[in-house]
Amino acid sequence: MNLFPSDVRIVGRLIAKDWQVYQKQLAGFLAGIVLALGLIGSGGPWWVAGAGAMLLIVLLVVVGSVTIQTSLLTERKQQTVPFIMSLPVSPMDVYWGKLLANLVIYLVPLLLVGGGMIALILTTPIADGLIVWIVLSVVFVLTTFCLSLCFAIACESEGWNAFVMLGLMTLIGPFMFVVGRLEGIVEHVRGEQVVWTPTALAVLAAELATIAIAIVVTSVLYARKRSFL
Amino acid sequence: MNSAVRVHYMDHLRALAMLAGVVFHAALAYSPMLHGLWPTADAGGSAAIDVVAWALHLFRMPLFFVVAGFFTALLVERRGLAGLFRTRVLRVLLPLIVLLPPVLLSLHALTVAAVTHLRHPSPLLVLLADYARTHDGLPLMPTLAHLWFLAYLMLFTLLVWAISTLEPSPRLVAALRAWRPSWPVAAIAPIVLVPALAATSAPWPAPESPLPQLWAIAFFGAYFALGYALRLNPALLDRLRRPAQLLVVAALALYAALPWVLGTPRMIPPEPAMRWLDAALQAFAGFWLTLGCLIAGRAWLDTANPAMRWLADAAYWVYLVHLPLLFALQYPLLDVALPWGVKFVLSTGLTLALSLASYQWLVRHTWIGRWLNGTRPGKVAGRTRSAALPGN
Repeated sequence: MNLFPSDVRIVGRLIAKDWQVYQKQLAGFLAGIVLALGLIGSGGPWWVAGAGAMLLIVLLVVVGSVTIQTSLLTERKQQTVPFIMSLPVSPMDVYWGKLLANLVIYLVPLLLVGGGMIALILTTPIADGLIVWIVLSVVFVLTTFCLSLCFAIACESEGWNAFVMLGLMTLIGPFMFVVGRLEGIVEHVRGEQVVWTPTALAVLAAELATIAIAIVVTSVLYARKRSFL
Repeated sequence: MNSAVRVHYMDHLRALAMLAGVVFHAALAYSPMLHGLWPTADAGGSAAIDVVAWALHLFRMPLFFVVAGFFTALLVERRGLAGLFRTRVLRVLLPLIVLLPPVLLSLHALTVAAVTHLRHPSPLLVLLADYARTHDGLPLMPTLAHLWFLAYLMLFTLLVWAISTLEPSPRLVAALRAWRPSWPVAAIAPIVLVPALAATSAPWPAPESPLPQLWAIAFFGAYFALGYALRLNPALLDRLRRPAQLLVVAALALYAALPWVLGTPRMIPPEPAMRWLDAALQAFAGFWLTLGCLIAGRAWLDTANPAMRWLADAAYWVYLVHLPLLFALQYPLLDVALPWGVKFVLSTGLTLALSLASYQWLVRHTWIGRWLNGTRPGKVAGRTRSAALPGN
């Protein structure tokens, strides 16, 4: 069983292909992110900044689901597999191409949003201690995206994919609420120091481990495939 | 860029806009309006400084962003979007990342030294001294300082990519290329800038926060778009040459109605009506002055001139390094008993001399020069107009 691609250059080309195909959506999201960051940075009434923050979170969630929907589920509907079978690529090349392309496409807005929020906290009177909660929340959003992505790669059922994607999205709000009240995190949120307590580090480690496990499990499942069908 | 295909008037306008920035920042120390807010504010000063410096402020950065938009379109035309990104990352984003920490650290160190040692500190330094006593030191503020324009330039580069990717209608682009607006359009166009300026204080401040400011994106973005359109349609301003003179006169008349010229300061915060009035006056006066600069630049500065070319090459470096140098000169001058005019000329002259000399000796013929300005500076091909470029 080979978990890795047979040709790294092909994977690079597949990533570039997906980037080109979906850059229109990305361009729209980028414009939305600039608008949201502008609203947050406007220094206007609190509700303007609040609307900006809400827009950022909505955009992140929407970017993730749209990327998976269009690059995996819609392509499947369009019966692209027979065409891919005629190309000199292995199933693992296509797998890594899809996985990495989606991650690259998603990481651009995610890093912009995460960086923007951290910049906001560092440059305004908002307590710097909030950064830990922000990082944990942003990495959780990334975790839900990775889980949805891995599930979409492994399972072809559109119904199950929609169920998993929506289910994971609904966890984002409760996660932010619960983590913000965890002992070891809550007492530093309003402080001026960024404190990475063992609790915060454990949550971060759990998130990263979930991402890693999801990718490894999906890789193993996909590596068992001898053909595209 | 080869000198045979350089757009001289745009190069020269960019240089003048950046050098005007040095004069503007030097003048702020003697501005009564900023006396309580500017760290190097001197005990001496004159209302005349406010009148002249803030007039300069109305159009120097707008002009810079018009030029930036123009050169962005030129880069897209010649090297494509990927080439634009490579150039912008190398010459805009990297200088911002590399130079921002030393700029912030040096400004902070100079201010801490001024707070500690000056016998005649500015009002802001007095406040900072009080803060330092009660808070055990002065914090390093994470701002973009005077390098904010680099961040906005990168942001507009990203938006150029976004808009190009969304593929604007070819009919719209063709219509823009063929458009020859007449004076009524120029007369009412600044109205689109009014909401942006109404969303901030007057005169508009430098958007130094690391987060993008919506008003600044809209305001400078509009000027950037004008510059971009000017490259797509070089004849865009052709029908505005004659009315431009009248528009400049009208701009000066509107400028004269602003509170810092009339000497009638507004309440803080100003009443909504006054806020909108000031925004409108700034928007119209600033736009028409910028238009006047573009038309005058095209008429008078569109020739290859070795001295101007050298200045154009030096201007970027000068602007990047001028503020710490200026503060290093103006802080000690606070304790020197000289007329404010002498201090102004001395600090401006020395800042320009030091930064221009450092450009000639440390930058122009080294890797730093190649990094910031591109190709190694070559000989200029005499005094020729830049007609080599189509449409110029």
